[in-house]
Amino acid sequence: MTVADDQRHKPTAEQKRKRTYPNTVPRPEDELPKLREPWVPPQGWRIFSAVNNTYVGLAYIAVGLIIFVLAGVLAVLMRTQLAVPENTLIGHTLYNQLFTMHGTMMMFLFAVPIVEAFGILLLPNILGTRELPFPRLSAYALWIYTFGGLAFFFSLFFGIAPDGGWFMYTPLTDSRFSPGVNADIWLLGIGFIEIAAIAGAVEIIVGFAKTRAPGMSIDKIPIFAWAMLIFALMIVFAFPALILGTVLLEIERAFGWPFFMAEKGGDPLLWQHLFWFFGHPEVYIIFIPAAGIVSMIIPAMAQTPLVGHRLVILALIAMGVLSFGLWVHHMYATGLPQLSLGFFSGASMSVAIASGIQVFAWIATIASGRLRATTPALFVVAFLIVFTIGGVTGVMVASVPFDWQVHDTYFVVAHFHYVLVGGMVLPVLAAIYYWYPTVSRKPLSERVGKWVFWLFVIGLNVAFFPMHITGLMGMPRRVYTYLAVMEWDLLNMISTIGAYMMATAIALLIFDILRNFQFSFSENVGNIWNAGTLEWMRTYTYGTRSIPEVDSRYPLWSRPKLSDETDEGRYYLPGTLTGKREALITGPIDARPVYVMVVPGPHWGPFLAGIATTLFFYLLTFKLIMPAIFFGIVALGFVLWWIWDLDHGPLRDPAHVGGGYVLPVYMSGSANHSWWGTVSLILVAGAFFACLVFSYFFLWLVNPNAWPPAGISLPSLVWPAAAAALYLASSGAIHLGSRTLRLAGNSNQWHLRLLLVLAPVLFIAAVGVQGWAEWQTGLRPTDHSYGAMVYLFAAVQGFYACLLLVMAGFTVARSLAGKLNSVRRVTFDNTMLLWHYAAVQGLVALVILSLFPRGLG
Amino acid sequence: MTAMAEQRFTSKTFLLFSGLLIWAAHFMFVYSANAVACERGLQDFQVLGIGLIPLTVMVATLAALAAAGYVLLTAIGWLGPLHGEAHDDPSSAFVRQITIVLSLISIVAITLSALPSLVVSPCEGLPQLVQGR
Repeated sequence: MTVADDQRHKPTAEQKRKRTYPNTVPRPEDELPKLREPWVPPQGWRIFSAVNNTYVGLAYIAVGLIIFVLAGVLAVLMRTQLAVPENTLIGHTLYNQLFTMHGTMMMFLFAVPIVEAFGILLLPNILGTRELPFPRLSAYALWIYTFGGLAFFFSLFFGIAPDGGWFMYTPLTDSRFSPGVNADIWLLGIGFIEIAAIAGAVEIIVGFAKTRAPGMSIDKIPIFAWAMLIFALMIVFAFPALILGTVLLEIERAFGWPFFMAEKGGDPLLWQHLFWFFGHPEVYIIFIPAAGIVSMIIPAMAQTPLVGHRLVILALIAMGVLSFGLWVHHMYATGLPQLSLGFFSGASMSVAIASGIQVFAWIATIASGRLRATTPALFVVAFLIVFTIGGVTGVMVASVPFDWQVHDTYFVVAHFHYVLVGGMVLPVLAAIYYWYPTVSRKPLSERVGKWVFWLFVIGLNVAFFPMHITGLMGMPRRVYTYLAVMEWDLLNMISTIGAYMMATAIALLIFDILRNFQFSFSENVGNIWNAGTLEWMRTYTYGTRSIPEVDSRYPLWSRPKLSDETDEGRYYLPGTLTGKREALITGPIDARPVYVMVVPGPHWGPFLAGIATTLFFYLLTFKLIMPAIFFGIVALGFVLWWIWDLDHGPLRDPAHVGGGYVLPVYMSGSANHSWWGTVSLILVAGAFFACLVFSYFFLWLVNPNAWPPAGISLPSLVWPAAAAALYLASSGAIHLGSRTLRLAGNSNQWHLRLLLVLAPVLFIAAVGVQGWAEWQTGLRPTDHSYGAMVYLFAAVQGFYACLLLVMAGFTVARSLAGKLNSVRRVTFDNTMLLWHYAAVQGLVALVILSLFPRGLG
Repeated sequence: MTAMAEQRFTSKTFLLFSGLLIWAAHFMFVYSANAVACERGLQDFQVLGIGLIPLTVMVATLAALAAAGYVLLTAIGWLGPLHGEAHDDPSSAFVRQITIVLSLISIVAITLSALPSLVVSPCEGLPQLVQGR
C-alpha cells in the first residue's frame, strides 16, 4: 500500500452510467502550449540526443532497412558466383565470409531489430500512450545497434569478417581452426545485438503491462501488442543461451578454458545445444511479430474484426512457449539417441497445431469480409501461401529419417528461406506499405507497390523453389562453386535470376520510399485504410492530445469520432501536471489509471554511451584490453549520467487527470515502472544462470568418472559454508538498509550508507572465498572442462559483485546528494531486488559445486 | 498497484501459463532422464518387466497429464470459483478461456512428446543405425 492508494478516487457509479467524458471542454487556452513545450524535439545536430519513441523507432527502421539492403547485396553476390559452374568470380575465402555475414546480418541485425523497431515506433500509439517507459534505453539500443551493426558489416572490407557460418559451430571456430580475429568479430559483434534486443524487450514488456490507455483491459489489447509481448518474453528467455554460448567460446578462444574441446573434457555439442536453444526460438522471435502485423492488416483490409481474436492470442502464447522444445530438430544428424529426437519431433507437431489455428483465423477473417486488393493485402496473401509452403517442408524436415537425407543440402536452404522470407520479410514489406501513412505526408505509390509485389514474390519463388530440387539432387550448402558434370547449372541459373528479380523489387521500394517520404506525424496522410486501432488517431510528438478511453478492440470503428474528441482534450491527461513529458501508468490487467509517470526527455547519455560501448567491444576484439576497459568504464559513466535524474521523487501533489481520478506523479515499490524493468532483467539473469547450470550438468554427463578429474579433490565444506554465510550477510545488510531507509527518511542516513558499503564488501568476500578455496586444491581452469565450469561460476558471481558495487556506490552518491529518502527510494529498491537475486544465485551455485560432485561419490 | 491487485495479477498470470509450464517441466524431465540413462548405460535396466526408460517416461507423463488436467478443471471452474474473481468481469472471462484452451493444447503436447517412447528404442542413435547394429 502506498501513499497514492489513499488519495486515488474512482469514478462514481453515476459517471459510469452516463456516457460522460473524463474532462470537460473547452480546455484552458494555455494547456496545449504547456503540453507541447517539453515534447519539442531537439533541433539541428542535437537531434542525436532525441529519445522520443517516434524518432528512435523511425531511425531504427531506417538502419534496419540499410542492413537489409547490405545483406541482400551479399546474397546477390553469392548468387552471381553460383550462376554458372566452376565460376572464378569469388574465391572460397570471401565466399565463406559472404554466407556467414549474409546469415548473421539477416537474422541478428535485420530481422530482430526491425520488428523491435516497429514495436518501438507503433506500440505507444497502438496502446494509446504518449511514450513507452524507458525511452533513453531504447535510444541507447538504437545507437549501439547502428554503430555496432555497421562496423560489423565493414569488417568485410578488411578481410576479417566472420567466416564460420551464422551458427559458428565448434570446433571449426575454436582458436586452433580459426586463429584469426574473424570469429572474435562475430562473437563480440553479436554482443551489441544481445544488449539492444534485451533493452528493447524490457521496454516492450513494461510498456505492454503498464502504459495502456485506460479501459484497454487484457481482453481488448490489439494482437500486434500481444505479439510484441510474446516476442519480448521470448528474447528474455532465449537470448541468454546465446549470450552464454558466445561468452564460453570467447573465453575458450582467449584464455584456453576448455568448454568445447573434447580432449580436455569439453564437448562441441554443448555449443550446438546452447546455440539452438536460442536459435530455434529465434525463428519464432521473428515470426511472431510478423504474425502480429498480419493480424492487424487483415481486419483493416477486410473491414471486419479478426475472427477468433482469443484463439489467435492463445496460438501466439502457445507458439512462444512450445518453440523452446524444438531446438534439437536442428541436431538430428548429431547422433543423439533416437528417443530424444522423438521428443522433439512430438513438440514440432504440437507447435504446428498452434500455427494452424492462426492461419485458419486469418483465412476465416478474409472470408467473412471483403479483402481490398491493396499492396499490403497482396503481401499478406502472398505471406499465407509462401509461409504455408515453407511450413509443409518444415514438417518434412521435422521428420527424422527425411531430415537425415537432406541435411546440409540446398533443400534446407529452400525450406528456411520460404519460412523466413515468407514468414517475416513479406509481412514486414506489408507493414511498410500499411503503416507508412502514419509517418509521412504522402503514402507510397500503389502502382509502384504492385510492381514491387509481383517482382518480389515471383522472384522469391523463382529463386528458392528450384533449390528444393538442387538439394534433392545432392548439392550441399555453403559450397562456393560446383562442377559442370553435376548438372546443377540450369537450376542454379534460375535461382540467380530470381535473386536479381528480388533485388530489383527492393531497389524499386527504396526509390518509392525516398520519393514519397515527407516526415510528419501531425500532418500525416491519416487513416487511408479506415483501420480500427488507435495508431490511426491524430498524433503529435506527444502522442494524442488527451489519452483516450478504450471500450472495444477496434475503438475507431466503435466510436468514429474518437480522434476528434481526443484532439479536443476531452479524455485523460489533456495537459501536463509537472511541466515535463508525462505518460499515464495503468494497471496490468484492467488498465485502470494508477499514476502519472514523468517521462525522461532528450539526453546525450544514450548516444555517447552507444559510441563508447561500440569502442569497448571492438577494442576487445583486437585484444586491446586496457583501452577496451577504459571505454567500458566511460560507457558505464554515460549510463549512470543519464539515469541520475530519473528517480525524481514526487514533483508535486497528486492532481486530477480526468474522470475523477486524482493521481500522484511518483510511486515506489511494485507499482513503479522501473521495478518491472528490474524484474524483467532478473528474468534474463535467471535464464542465463539456468543455461549455465545446464552446461555444468551436460559436461558432467559427457565426463563419466572425471567429475572432478583424477587428482583433483574438492575443497573442504568449511569454505563453501563460509561463502554462503557471507552471501547471506551481504543480503541481510541490504535488507537492514531497506528498514533503515524507511525509518530514517531524510534525516540521518549514515547507517544506510555504512550498510551500502558493507554489503558489497561481504559479497566480494563471498566470491573471493569460493574462488580461493578452489584454487588451493590445485584446480586450474585451463586443464579440464570441470575446472573451467567451476571458475566460470565464480567469474559470473564476480561480474555481479562488480555490478552491485557500482549500484551500491550510485545509491550512496544519491544519498549524499539528498536524492534518496523514505518516499523517493526507487533507486534503492532496484538495487535491493538485484542484490537479493545475485545472493540467491550465489547460494545455488555453491550448493551445486560443493554437493553435487560429493553426492556422486 | 495495491497488494490485492498485485496478488490477482500474479495468480492470473501463473494460472494462464501453468499448462504450458507443466509441458515444459515434463519435456525437460523426460529429455534429461533419457539422456542420463543412455549416457550411463541404463537402457537395459528393467522394472516389473518394463524398460526403466519407457516406465519413467510413462510415470512422468501420467503425472504431467494429471497436473494439466487439474489446471483445466480449475479454469473451467469445476473446482470452485477462482480467488477474488468477479464473474461479470470480461478480463477474468478472457483469462479463463485462454487458460482452458492452453491447458488443452498442453495436454496434447505432453501426449505427443511421450508417444515416441512407446515405439522407439531409447538409446540407439544415427551412428548405431549406420553401423547396422
